[in-house]
Amino acid sequence: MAALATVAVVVAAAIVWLTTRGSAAAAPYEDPASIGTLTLCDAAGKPVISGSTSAAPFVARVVSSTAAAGPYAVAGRTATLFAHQPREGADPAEWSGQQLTAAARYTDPAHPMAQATVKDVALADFLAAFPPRWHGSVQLRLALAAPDAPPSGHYASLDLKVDGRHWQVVGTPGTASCTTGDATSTETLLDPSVTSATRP
Amino acid sequence: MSKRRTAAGTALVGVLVAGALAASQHSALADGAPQPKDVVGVGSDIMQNSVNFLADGHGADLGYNAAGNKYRIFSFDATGDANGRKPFTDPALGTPTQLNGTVTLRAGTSPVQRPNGGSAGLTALINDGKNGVSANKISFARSPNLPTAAQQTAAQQNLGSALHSVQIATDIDYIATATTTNAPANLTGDDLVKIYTGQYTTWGQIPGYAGPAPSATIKPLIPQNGAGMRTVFLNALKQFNGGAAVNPTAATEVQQNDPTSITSLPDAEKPNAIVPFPKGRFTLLDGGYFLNPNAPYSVAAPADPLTTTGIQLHTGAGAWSTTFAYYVIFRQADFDSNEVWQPGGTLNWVQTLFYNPGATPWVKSAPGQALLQSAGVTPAYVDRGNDVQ
Repeated sequence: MAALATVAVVVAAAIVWLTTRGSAAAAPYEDPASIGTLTLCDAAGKPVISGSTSAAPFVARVVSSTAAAGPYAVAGRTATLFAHQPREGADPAEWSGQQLTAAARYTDPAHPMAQATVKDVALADFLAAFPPRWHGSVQLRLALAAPDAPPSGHYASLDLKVDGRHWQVVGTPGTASCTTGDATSTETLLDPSVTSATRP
Repeated sequence: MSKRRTAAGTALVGVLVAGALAASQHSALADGAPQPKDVVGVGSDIMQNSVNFLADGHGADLGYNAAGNKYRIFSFDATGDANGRKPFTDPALGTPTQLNGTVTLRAGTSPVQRPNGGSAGLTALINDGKNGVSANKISFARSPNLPTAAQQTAAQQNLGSALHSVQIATDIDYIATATTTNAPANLTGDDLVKIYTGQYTTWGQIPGYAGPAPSATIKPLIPQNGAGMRTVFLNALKQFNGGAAVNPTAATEVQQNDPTSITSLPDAEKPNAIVPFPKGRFTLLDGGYFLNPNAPYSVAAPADPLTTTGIQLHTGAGAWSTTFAYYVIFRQADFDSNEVWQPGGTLNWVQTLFYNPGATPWVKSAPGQALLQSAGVTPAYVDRGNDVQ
């Protein structure tokens, strides 16, 4: 009986650990330009660490653990989600990539935030153009920009592993809250009929 | 010499050669000209901002090149001036005359005449090869008009490929006048045919004219030769001319889509001037995108934005207007190509950027279409294949 209870506790702990810490395995690379990590959020504003590659948009919202600084913390600041394809032997600066969301204006410079809309694509769209080339790895980057400032050369990032039609965060996911502030996609600002992927 | 010393010497030469090559590559990059696999566009003035936004973004809204991919889009402006103005000779040398601008299409090549306008861009694309072999210095043309049948034939002969067109946006052409004008608010297509062909030379000749200056001489302005917007305008007037081509003998040529074509006129001519003007450029001007080019660059004292002050569009009921398409035109062979564009990818450059049935090329993506909207036009994604005018 005691052994059964011990097993139950261990399993429960493992489940908690997996849903809050992502996969134990780390990505097979390091990116010196990465300065923080990301929280992925579903339409209900809850953190997610795995999902289907065919779900569109990929996720509803992405929140950075690292504050925008200097010229990127001003009014009009934006955050944009990119996916990149790690390639063994190539510098991370040379990894090919693609936008997954348009730029979003966000309210809390302590936690830059990209906001998807119902028109944004699934991860599968990126994978069709750039299939994983290194142990299933995909790197997400949150690019910061501001009016009259070039895109920042540094970014918060998060590593995924893709297996078939499933993706899973590897390493340590972000701890920023999905509801720390708000964000509005340029797609919505220009056309209010394009609704946010986050449910109000 | 021992094998070891020979090998060491060979290695040293290799290092020196590699270093020299690396240095030469840095030199080639210094002028910012496109490298061989970069995608190069030329042509239409009215489309240049839209495609620039797609390539490089607008303000804090990021374009395709922001992904940091190895190969990039270079979409060269029509005149070499980012505000769309035509270059002139130095006034100190006498009466200024218009210059043909130039452009370096690929790193290391000599500057060539810069295609100023959609028609000129399409012609340059068609001439980017001979005897069926493409030079591939130009990847695509921006044009508000599809190729003609004759241009398709010439493309096949010169490039060994038909041309393929994709409509990426829609814009509307209106008549612009000075804010204070003698022109009626609802000039019709029939009126315009008679004005541009010299049958109406004064406002009072227009049936029903009730304006303040019936005897004033009308000053019709038209985009320069080679401008796709000139073709759009004249083609749209054909239906009011019994289907026949309109020869605008009464018109004065001006740089297209530029408010100063009216605001720089003498005061006596300003209220009598009319010019076709696209809504997209007008919207972009009103949005503060263009800055006063007479103010030197300064972060501390930024230049004031240009505006549409001094001109107006006649958009009321009954006034002439025509919708027109923004086409990106490329070689059919480039769409059919199996040559992957970006490292690690699966798509060629056409599939990545402009046309990919069943997938989402950049121009069809929600972020790409938002950039087109921010340029003041209505996004579209319509494959026109090998269609002709």
